[in-house]
Order: sequence, then structure tokens, then C-alpha cells
Amino acid sequence: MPSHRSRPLPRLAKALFLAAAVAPVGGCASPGPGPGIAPGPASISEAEALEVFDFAWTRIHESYYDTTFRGLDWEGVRDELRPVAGASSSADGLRAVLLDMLSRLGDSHFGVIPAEHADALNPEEVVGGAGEPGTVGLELRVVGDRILVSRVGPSGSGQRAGVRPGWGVESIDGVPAHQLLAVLDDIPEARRLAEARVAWGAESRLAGRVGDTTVAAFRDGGGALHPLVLVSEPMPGVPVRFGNLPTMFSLLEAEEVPAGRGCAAVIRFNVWMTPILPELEAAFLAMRHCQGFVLDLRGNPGGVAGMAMGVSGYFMTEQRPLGIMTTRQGVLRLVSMPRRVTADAQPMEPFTGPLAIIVDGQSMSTSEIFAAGLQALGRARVFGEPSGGQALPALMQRLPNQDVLMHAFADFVDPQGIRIEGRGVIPDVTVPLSRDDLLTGRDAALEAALEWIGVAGLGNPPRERIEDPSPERPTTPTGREQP
Amino acid sequence: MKWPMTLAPAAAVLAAACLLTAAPVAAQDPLPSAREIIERYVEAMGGREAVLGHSSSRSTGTFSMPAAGISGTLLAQSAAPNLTVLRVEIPGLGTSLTGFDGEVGWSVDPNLGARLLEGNELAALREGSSQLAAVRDPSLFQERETVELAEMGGEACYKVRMLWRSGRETFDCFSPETGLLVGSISRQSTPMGEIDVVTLMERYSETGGVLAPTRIRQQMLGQEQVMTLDSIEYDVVEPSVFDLPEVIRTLIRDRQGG
Repeated sequence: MPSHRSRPLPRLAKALFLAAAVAPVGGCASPGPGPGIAPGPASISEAEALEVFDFAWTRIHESYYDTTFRGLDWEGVRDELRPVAGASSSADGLRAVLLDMLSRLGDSHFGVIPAEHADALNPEEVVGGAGEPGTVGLELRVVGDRILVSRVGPSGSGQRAGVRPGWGVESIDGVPAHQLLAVLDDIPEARRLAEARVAWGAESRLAGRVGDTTVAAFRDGGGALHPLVLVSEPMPGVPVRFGNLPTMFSLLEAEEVPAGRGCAAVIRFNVWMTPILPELEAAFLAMRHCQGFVLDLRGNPGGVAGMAMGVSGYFMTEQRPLGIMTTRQGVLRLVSMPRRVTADAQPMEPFTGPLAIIVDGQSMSTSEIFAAGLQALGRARVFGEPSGGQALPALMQRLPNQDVLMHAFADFVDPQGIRIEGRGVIPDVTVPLSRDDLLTGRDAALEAALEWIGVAGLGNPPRERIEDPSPERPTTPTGREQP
Repeated sequence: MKWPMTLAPAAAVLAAACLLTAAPVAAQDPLPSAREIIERYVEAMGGREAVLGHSSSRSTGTFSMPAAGISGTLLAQSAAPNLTVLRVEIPGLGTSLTGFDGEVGWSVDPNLGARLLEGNELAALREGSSQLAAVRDPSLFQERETVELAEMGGEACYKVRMLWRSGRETFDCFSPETGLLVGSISRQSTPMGEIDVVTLMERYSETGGVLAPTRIRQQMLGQEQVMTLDSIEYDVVEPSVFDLPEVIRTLIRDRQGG
């Protein structure tokens, strides 16, 4: 059955980070029309192309946090690629050259967002109608050599079609999964990041604009094939746009679950954008009687870094550095800002009981800054899988052709001086995602976090480690092997 | 400090040397004293009486970080002797408020929450909120000293070192041609540490008998923030606008143990 799709929009919440991801994993290896470079025949003159190239090169030349460019001959890169840029006959061609240039840096948070994506949606005009970005309510992860459904939204067409966690994606719109996964073989040295790209790329293929249909085939746990027609529906969450970032849909979910002899508060949000804050505070206040909190940052690709300071303040009684940003011009500390008053002016104390943070390979940027900082301070215990290692503070700047250049302007280390870029946040308790767990409806990482809260919450609450913090060694929970 | 994004985030200091470089001063042209420079500045604005004759001011305009595509609205209100409140609203980020009510310096930020300012951050706000700061009144300073003829924002200016009563050191730069303030350099205290800030005053316009800049560009950490004032009104501010927000009152009660 043919699918009926208008031109796909990127999964906007992740478009930025996909664009960022292009650089370190080798530019144009994207398996299809992902959100990196929009297809489009727009022609560009040599003068225009050179103006854009020179602007981007110069901006990075002047702002990259390391004046030695980590050993890269940045001027040599310009000399090599400027003529290629000038010979570009289309906007797409020029973007490819820019991405090639950015990839030479080998850092995250360098990318180009096409103007048509950056400006695709005005959040004030979102009504959930046809033509707007949609979703089928499925989250995907790469596990081993498969693309698996890791989460099924409660009300999407995927859920109504009967898709279950653990089902494997066999094909999307006729493109077989093995073709989507092929990129993993090309860049084994960046496997974690490549897996995120593949999963997000597959999600982008599944979802179109509201009203679009997609034909996808899934294989269940018993081996049966399920060809399904999925309809994209309005994105859940609050549309928000900040600066040159594309419009995103921020979504926070919170629930109280049993833990130990009491309860644990589980809060999950998909992006670090300000609209989540009122809901976060409401959830915090409603569940602070529980033994502990779980902040589930799996799949959260980041957002506004400053939010890490304010959100950590719900769990920190003192100002403590979450990490250090080093720019060319100086050093800044990201610090926790203890919350002593609610938005409606009621006095409040930060929560001092057990705090668990769950991350995975799709937890990036601000999620990593937050998790790494609280882990290093001894305030939180981190569960799950190593995070994406994409943790450089970046800025979004318009290029002369109105595309958006994302460029890192600072390096970042956690309070112990450990660089998170490329390394990621290493969980204290590593809990790999497995298909068996997904098929049986088991969330092993959450279970491990709740188990810890159940025990830790009965005794003395963990203290903030102030002086001479020593890294906690990853341990093995519930008999699991660490990779 | 207003948040860029990390994305972050972000801010880096435009090295002051880039904008403020020493220029050779002819031996036969001794530098005017700081007192002379500042007196001329006050006269250029319209005179001390005109500046201090207004009991309050209300400015509206826009706030932007052009390179990051961030823009919003601003409302700045102040009143004698030392009251101030600044409101900045940015789509996608929310509303930031900063104020001083004569005793308490405070901030309410959508990301950082509500807080009482302390230390150098409070001292800077307290001193900057004084109506007398507009005329660089000697009572606010330990020392004022002309340093050199320099250049700032492409304009020649007399660089004057200002040592405030609190011990803060800032540099103002005044145009030899017009007498007006071209810009200033300061080191601002923030929860994230100290940040060097270069401020450029541009597009002076007369309202209510006072010549004031209507575009203020602040450069820090490689980023530029631009405040453009669309209107300046005098003597129209209601005193109640300086009342402490309830969240700040709660923090004060909490601090006092009640």
C-alpha cells in the first residue's frame, strides 16, 4: 500500500541535535532525507556561496573555544573548501560543504539547519491541524543490529494499531531496516551517536505532517510480521520556539510509583525548554513526600543549558558548580540555584532525599550537563546507559542565506574536571536496554533506580558531597553485567 | 545576566582590548581631569538640574541578541532616590525581572527562580540604581581618574576609571567631541562568576530636557545584547511598581526565620 506523505518535516525537537550529529559522524552519511539538509533545488551564486562560507568559517575562527583548534589547521580547511563552496550551484551543495568543514572539528554541536526547517513552524500558530508536524507516538532505539520500538505513546496511531515495545522495525515506506542501519558499519568509532541518528532518522520517517500516512512493517516477539498503516497525529506537548532554534514540543510526564515502603516520584521530560518548568514544579510539590525522585532523561537531547541550574535547585540546598564552561574569553560556572520559594510565593525547601537520574545514548547536551554535575557532586545516582557525549555549549547564528549555523563556543567539564564531550555520562549503575525487557514490558533501568530509592530512602538521605569528591565506581545492580 | 542558550547558553567576553585600545596622546594635550570630563558630560546631557529634576523615568523598548535570533520586550522603570525595576519578556523563555527597592536587590528568572542578590552583584545594582549615578556624582565614588584617550566602538573617548564606594572598579569613556558617554567597561558579578562587559551608548535623543542613549549594546562572552528604547517618559511611574514581588517577600521572611 502506498503511503501518502507530503514533504516530511524533521522531528523538530531533535532536528537541532541531528544537525549537530552530522558533523562528528561524517557528514552526508544520512540514510535519506533526514533533517540535516533539506532537499531543494534552490540555486546559489558563487558570490552568495562564498559569503555564506566566509561568514561561517570566520564565526568559528573567532569563537571556537580552543585557539589551536585542537591541532586542526583551520586556515588550511578554509583554503581547501572555500573553492568547493564557491563552485556550489545549489543551497544543498553549499550545505554539504559547510557540513564537511564543520565535521573536521570532530565536535558535537556544529551543524547547519536549513532556513526552511528553522522557520517551519510558528508556535503561536500551532493548532494541531493538517500540515503541521505530526507523530505516530512511537519512540525507537537501536539495540544490537535492530531498530526497536522502545516506547509507545498512550494515544498515538501506533498504540491504536497495536504496536508494542520490543517490536522490531522491518521497513518504513519500503525502506528496509537494514538499509537504515547500514550507517552503523560506516562509523564504528562513533557507534553510540550513530545509533541515536539511526533511531531519530527512523522516527522521522515514521512521522509526517498531521494527516499523513506511513506504511511500516514491524516484527513482534514471536516473529510475526505486522504491516501497518500509521497516521501522523498532532504532536503532544507545548510548542515553543527560542531564538533561532526550530519550534519544539515540550512535554513533561510525571507519576508516583511504589518504591520501598512508600513511593517514588518519576518525572520525564523530552527537552530542556522553559514551558516545562511550571509542570515540573507542580510535580515536584505534589510528590515531594515520596522517598525519592527519578528524573528520566532518556531521549532528552538538551535545550537551554541555564535550565540545568534552576532545575538542580529543586534538589540542592546550596549553590554548587555543576560544571565549568571555558570560552576563549573566560570561564563560567554552571551552578545549582537552590529553590526556596514556589512560583506562587509559598516557601519551599529543596528535596534532600535520594535522586536517581536515568540516561541513555539519546540523552545529550543539557541532559548531560545536569546528570554529570549532580553525579560528580554525589547528589544523584545515575542509571541506564552511557549518554551521548554531546555536551558542548553552543549558539545558533543566522547565516547570510538565513540558514542557521550551530557552533560550539565553549568546552565543558564536570565539577571533577572530566570532559563529557565524546565520553558521555557513565552511569553509576549500567542497565543496558534489551529486547527481552521491552517485550515483557519491563523497564529495567527504572526498576534499578526504584530499587535503590527503596533502600536509600529508608535510611539517611544522601548528602551533597562538597569537598574532595571522589567518583563513585559503577556498580552492578541486580546481578547485571556491565558492558 | 540574560541567558543565551546553551545551548546554550552562553556568553563570552568581548575582550575589552578589541574595543578599547590606547591611542597615542600628544604631549601638548594633557588629559582633562575626571571632574572636568564628568561635568561636561552632565552639561551635555542637559545639566544636573534637568537630569535630577525628574522624579522617575519609564522606558520601553526591545531587548535582543541578534546573532542568536532572540528578541523580546523590555520595560525599565526607576525613581528617586534609588528605586529600579527591569522587566524583560522573551518568547520561549519567559519573563525576567530585576529590581532594587532601596534596600533589597532581587531577581526573578524563569530558569533560575527567585533570589535575593548579594555581594558584588547587589552592590552593583544598589549603586547603579541611585539617581545620582546618572550624573556620576562624586558621593558615589572613592576615586575618579582619567586614564587615557582611547577608542571605543570606533569613537575616540576619554577613559575614566571609576572606583565606586563599594570597591567596584568600572571604566567610563566620554567623547571629547560631544562630552557624552560613549561606553563603559565593567566586570559584572553573576552566580556563574564574573563576566567582563563592554557597554556602548548610542543614538542619543532628547526627551524631557535630557539627552539619553536610545540604543545600548552590551558585549560579553562574544555575544551582543541590544536594548533599543522606543520611548522614555518622565515623572509618570507609580511608586507601587517598585513593591517587592510576593516571591521575594517570601524569601526575605524565610531568611529572617519567619
